[in-house]
Amino acid sequence: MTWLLASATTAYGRHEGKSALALMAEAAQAALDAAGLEAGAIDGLVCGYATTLPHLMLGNVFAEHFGLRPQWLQSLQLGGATGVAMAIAAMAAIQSGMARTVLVVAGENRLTGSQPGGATKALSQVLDADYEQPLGAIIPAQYALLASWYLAERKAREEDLAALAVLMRRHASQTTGAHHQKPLTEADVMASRPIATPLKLLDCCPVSDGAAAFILSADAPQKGAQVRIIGAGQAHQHQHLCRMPDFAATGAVAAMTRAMAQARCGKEDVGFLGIYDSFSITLALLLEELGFAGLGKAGQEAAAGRFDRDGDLPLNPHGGLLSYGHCGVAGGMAHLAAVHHALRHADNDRLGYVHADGGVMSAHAALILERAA
Amino acid sequence: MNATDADALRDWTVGADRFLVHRCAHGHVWASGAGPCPQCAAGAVTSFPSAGRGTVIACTLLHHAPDGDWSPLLPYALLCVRLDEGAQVLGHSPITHRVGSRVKARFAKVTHRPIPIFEQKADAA
Ligand SMILES: [Zn+2]
Repeated sequence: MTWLLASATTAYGRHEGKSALALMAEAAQAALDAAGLEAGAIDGLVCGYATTLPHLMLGNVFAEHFGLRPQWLQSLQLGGATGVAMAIAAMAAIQSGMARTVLVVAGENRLTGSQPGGATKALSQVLDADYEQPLGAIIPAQYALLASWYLAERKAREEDLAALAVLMRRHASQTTGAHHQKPLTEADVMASRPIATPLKLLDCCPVSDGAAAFILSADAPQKGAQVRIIGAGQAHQHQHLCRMPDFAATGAVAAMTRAMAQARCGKEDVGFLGIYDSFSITLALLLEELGFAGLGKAGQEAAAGRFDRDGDLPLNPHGGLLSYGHCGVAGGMAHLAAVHHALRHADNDRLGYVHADGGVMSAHAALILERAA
Repeated sequence: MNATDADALRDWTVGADRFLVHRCAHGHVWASGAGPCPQCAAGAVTSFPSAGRGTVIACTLLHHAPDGDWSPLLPYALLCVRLDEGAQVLGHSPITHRVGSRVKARFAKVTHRPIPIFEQKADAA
């Protein structure tokens, strides 16, 4: 059994003068405090990467910085899927007995600590060096290509994508610590400047500073609602858009199917969603491929309230990457923290489903959470 | 491999003005290099040049460039095209194209090197 003892995020946004390590330590301490644990209780550590602190051994650097001496340590790099995949790695370490209580942590000062163009350059590794970079491609353009296909293939409108950004902003406006909280309308999204058509500025997540941490353990929490991770799955079917054979079958379903087989559950058991939303189109593609929205209907269903905090299937109640903010690996951890929080305070026993993608719908990682009776 | 074989495997990324399509024993086709099949890891059983005609699967007009070499060309388009030979490729265009329209590639230097540039072709059907 793997228990999610605690999850914590710093505020996302501008943290002038704070280093990646300082932000990571802040989130790690908040998670320890939430779990009621001392650092000495941690015997496993999983770290992500930080574009503002590229290092061969970031996990060891953080362990030393924070005063940990873990018996098991890993650093992971799967782009946007890293946060969820780190929790999966922690779960595997606990289930195999290599660690008992694992801290998962990532964060960086991507907004205030990047060299000019630094984050863009690091992220452009995701593009194929021979077949994509020489064409003047950028990451938003790869997702914009998927968006243009999506709008034509599924007969959706740009306003439908905008509706997803509006929903994320509405949720962020109700969340302490969100990077962007000023309410938005579809018209605001439509009027924002074009980045790569059909994607506009407000279809794209911001760059933020921030950090997040989880504590997973073989031991159940002593107090409060008990939430455990009952299923995990991954899928990795391509890296580059130029070798992605089917935009409608990216690997998302394969990852979810593996997680649900392990959890012995189905989509109908899921009541809370944390779905990666680097762009509005990312959210539309994932919701629809996974079957949580009809084909071409994600935006309309969002506009109709289905994914509201008090809707049928609450989605990214913190506001997602699009509005809570995106500080790299920790950006994709906030969805898990938000679903954890929602489960602990839910008035029903439905499951939480968290899904992240890295690259251009390339790396998929999925987790299923359950509140113990 | 002799010189003729090596020439036969050259595509636009190494200065030949063409896409090169590869097909594995399972019928998968790709035009992103002569390595193993991206879908099944099998080797190519055949490799042949594409005529450069195809249908637009996706197209975006960029208003942001990766660097100063590209920014003077803004806005410019990036296309994903299904070649008539079945392989999926990316290419450049100075203008945007509608999904589903027919295009044909020519190869010309943009910034530093020759790249595929797609043009609308009523006769590309
Ligand atoms: Zn194959």
